Amino acid sequence: MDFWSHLVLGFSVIGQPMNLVFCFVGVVLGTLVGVLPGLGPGATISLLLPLTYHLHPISSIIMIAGIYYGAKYGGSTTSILLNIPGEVDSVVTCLDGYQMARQGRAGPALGISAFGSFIAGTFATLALMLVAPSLANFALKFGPPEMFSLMVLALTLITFMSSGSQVKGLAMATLGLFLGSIGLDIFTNVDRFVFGYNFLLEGLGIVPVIVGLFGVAEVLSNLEVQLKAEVYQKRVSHLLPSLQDWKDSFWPIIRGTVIGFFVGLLPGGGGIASTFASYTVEKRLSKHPEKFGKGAIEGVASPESANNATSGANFIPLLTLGIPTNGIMAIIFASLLINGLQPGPTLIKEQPALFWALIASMYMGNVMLVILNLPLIGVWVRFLTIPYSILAPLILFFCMLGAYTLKNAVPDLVVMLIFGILGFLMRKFRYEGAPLIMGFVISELLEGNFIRSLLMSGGSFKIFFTRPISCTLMIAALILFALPFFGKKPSSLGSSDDEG
Amino acid sequence: MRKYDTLSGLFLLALSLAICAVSLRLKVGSLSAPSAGFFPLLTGVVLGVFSILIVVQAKKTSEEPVKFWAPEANKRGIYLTFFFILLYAELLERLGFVATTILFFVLISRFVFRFRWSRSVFFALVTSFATYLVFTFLLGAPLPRGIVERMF
Repeated sequence: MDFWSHLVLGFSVIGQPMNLVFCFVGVVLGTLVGVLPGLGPGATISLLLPLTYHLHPISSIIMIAGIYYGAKYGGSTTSILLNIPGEVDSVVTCLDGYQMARQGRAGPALGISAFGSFIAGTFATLALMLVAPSLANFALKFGPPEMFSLMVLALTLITFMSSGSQVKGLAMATLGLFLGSIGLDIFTNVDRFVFGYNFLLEGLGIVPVIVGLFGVAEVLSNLEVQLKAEVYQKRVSHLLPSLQDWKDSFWPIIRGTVIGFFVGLLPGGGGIASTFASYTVEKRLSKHPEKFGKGAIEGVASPESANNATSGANFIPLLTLGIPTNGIMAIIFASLLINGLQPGPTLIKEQPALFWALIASMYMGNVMLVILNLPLIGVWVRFLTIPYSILAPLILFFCMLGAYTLKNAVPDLVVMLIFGILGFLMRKFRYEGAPLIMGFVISELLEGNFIRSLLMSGGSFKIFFTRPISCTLMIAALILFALPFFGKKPSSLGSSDDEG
Repeated sequence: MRKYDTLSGLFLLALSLAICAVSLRLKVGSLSAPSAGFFPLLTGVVLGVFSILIVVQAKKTSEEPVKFWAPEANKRGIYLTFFFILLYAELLERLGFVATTILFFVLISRFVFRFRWSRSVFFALVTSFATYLVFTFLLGAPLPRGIVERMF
């Protein structure tokens, strides 16, 4: 099948009424969680995992992807109207977006943010469509040493790009790798770290671990200090930006899209890194840098485009190499596994309907989001008045339901609670969750490829350095590992957790 | 942060030693023929190295006065939430899904979020029955049955 017939296949799958409904539900939920501070897409996707057990894998992935990129649209609403980022990626949008709202220009700020997001989201989908199949074909040549080196590089990169200490991030990634090794050994069938608890034979459940670390920990953190904020401009009008607004925003949108896309390809390249980078570039290039922070529309257009381009680009390493680039991609990775699909180089070849339907759904979803986010802005503003005291018990309840219903096992509830407390403590002690989750979900693959490489080489580590691709990846990982010790870590880059 | 980094680093060091000790009790094998304990042992050793680095780095950081709890932190709410989730896990398969969920919602909305009794009970009833109906009849997911479920 050629490119166009694949694309037609994708649109024919997304054209089925049920898939369209799930795409719509995904983008609506995404916008909603983007709008609501204290509820991020990671937690929401975790909460919805129990629902996806009962859906067709294509419907599940379409809905989950919709939540992810939909949240990027919604996050800007809260930043502009409340000066509180609905999503962590929208922190930068607060700087100029809220100032525009104070000047009575909330409408154009929301408008340019939605149009910029649409342009960037569509570009990222186009690039995903063009790049992913070739990259996956290239990755099919990878043997165990290349896959192992790639995963080592991904883990190093996610910790390098994180906002906190790289050593802490590496410790969390290693802890994740260990946690993923609990249960029956894939090669010898010997049980490891089970201590007589039979429910651990299959390993720690992905869902209880993720739901605990993201959902429960988020509620516990929000419970400690509750958010209190007022909407600055409750009635929003004149959403269409003026010609001058478009002139000021055109190049920032293009630059934001390109920066966001390339940052999104890197493990650890979360939306916050791309938004900060694009904002800084715009400020440097501007003839009026003094206007930034005082309501410059470029300060809204560029970062909002960047975070949407990032969210599309994040799918490329996941679908072609099987590498989740941030915490939410790790959750999507887990949801694919739950649905019996193995993300990696063979996914596009073996599941063309899934990949091309996802592409088609992203085009459709972006159109739906522009419609949802412009004429219906008043509806989303009303959601901002839902008290957290109603949301929090519901979030906790869906966390418990998600953890329990995968295997109908009470011990999974206890695992969820333990990881909830661990996640809460990690936030307190400034450890990031994304490296731990990433280590946890790729542990089995990493161990498998590592052991196979050693078996191939008769126990020699040279195998990772004698094959050109593996050697290049390993050297890149070693450089990234060593850089912080020479004071070269990009401390300005944000977290890759992508949690709001 | 120095105190907390030192504490967390030491905790991770203790954990890594425990991982190494348990891994060594499994068969480790050799580089050319790794066995079940090989990979966990490796993660234990690497975690140990990183935890030592965390402790060493903590000594170099300035003593920043950071308190564990935020000012006016809702500690009671956090402890109660923890307890109610544990209680839910304990009772779910004994009382059934609906009764346990009602109890959870009443307790958490009344004692953590301080709703009035009437509002707590209403919230609990609506959410419990709605999710039970969706999961059982729409999604066909089996949920633990108790006295209430047997009435359906």
